[in-house]
Amino acid sequence: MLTLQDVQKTYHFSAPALQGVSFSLGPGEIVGLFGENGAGKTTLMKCILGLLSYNGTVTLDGEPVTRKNIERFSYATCEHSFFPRLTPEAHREFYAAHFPKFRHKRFDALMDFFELPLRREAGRLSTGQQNQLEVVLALSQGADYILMDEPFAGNDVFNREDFYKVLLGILEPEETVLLSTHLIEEVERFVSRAVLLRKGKVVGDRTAAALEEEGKTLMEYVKETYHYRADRVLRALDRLSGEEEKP
Amino acid sequence: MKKPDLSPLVPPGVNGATEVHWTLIGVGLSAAAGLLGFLFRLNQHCRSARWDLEATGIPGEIGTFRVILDGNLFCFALVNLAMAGMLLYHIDLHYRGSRSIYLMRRLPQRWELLRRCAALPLLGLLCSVLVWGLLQPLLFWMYLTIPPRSFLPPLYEGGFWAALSRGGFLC
Amino acid sequence: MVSFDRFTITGESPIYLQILRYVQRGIVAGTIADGEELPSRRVLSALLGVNPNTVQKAFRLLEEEGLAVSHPGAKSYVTFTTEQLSAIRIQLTEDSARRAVTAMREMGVSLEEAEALLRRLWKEELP
Repeated sequence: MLTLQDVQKTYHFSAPALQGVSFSLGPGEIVGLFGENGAGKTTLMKCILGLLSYNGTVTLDGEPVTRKNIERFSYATCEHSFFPRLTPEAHREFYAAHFPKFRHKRFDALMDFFELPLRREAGRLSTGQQNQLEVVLALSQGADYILMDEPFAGNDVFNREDFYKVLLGILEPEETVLLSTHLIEEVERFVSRAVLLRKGKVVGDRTAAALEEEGKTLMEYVKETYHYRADRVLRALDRLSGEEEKP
Repeated sequence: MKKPDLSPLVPPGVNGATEVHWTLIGVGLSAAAGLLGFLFRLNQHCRSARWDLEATGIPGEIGTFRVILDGNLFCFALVNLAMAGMLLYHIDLHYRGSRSIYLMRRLPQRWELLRRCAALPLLGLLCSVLVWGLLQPLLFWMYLTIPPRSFLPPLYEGGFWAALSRGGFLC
Repeated sequence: MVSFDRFTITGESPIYLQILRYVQRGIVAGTIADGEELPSRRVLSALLGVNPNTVQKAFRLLEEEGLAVSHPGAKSYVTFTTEQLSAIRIQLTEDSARRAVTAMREMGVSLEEAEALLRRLWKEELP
């Protein structure tokens, strides 16, 4: 169980990026982390991984996150964390050498599924392929908490749909995924829980089952949580056309 | 001798052998430049001492060891700077084209990132300092043996060890 | 193995209910046989692109309705008696008809118009 308690982060000379975030992620959950740009999704993941300093606590099964248990986390980010000069094959060797629980079979199967060239330098793959490699590595590391930060920026929709299905097929019951994305409608069916972040605070946290009981779609829940005003567009258009009609 | 695998000592994707190669060349050239510069100035001083001898009958004195040496080992400082540059380059590589720094900082192996960034620069620095250090006694010995004894300042009389104990190496 | 090739997810109702309805319709239509194997939870969730919890819920519901049987760690099978089949047919038919009637009444169709429409459509070829 990954538990965050009152996590706060302020970058120098800026408004706070995270203001007391608390929640827990259990084994086997597929959690969607949603929020507007700048809501703190990326900052939150980096704090969990210890890539940023922060106030508050993050514990994994009661223990703080240190070198001893860091291998239980893997990370796929839209910024990409692979080595541009290394081929996927060389990445496999590097990962296997540093992460004893590396899943070779899964790596092979996913490389095959995405049809990624094993021997081309990562820096020379297309953006879509780079995203895929990033995700393949995060899934094959042998971690049980897989953090993905907007991993599909730039991939076409077929790619993404296929990917969700493969993910559902290969994830084991004890693997937990935290996925931050803008694509709410797309991931609606496959997440089991949604955590909504806004300006560094958790403003919503519902399981898919609870939303079903309430008869709400995820999109509806998100819109009502953010007080989305559906008439905004109409009113803006009204104002615009009103202006143009002036003589 | 089988070529050693340097890949654990450099950031992934860097050719360690090339970096070692150029560092050794740098150190070698610095040593060569130091040696040649030293011999050139030594020769200059000897020549002027000879002129004194021919003009006045009294042999001139060449400069002390440090005067002859002064500045000739400057290239080693450049090599050291290059090692600092190599360190910065290694670090910077983790931010280019992707953020592999995130992966390196997530590794269970605590010293992996530091080792890969700093190993060759530190070894290069060590090599540079070592050669710089070993070159000087050699040059000192040359200073004592090459010029005619009469040209040497009185401080250096009595051979290598006597000159050394009198602090000649440091003057 | 029960095939889900023709199953599409709509936004009308919770997915686990849609899965239940799909199996019920298959039973009534005869495309799903008594004793036929159901795909495993994980495979079905990957196939449909839905969270395994959703599939789990659907399977549990099927079991509660007496339409499926599974043992922990083993495969699940569809199971039904002829009585159950009849009961489902009646239930589904009523549901369909109720939806059609509601729609027509909302549009202000009278009972006579509805009956005439029904008679005409009945004579049409089935798609």
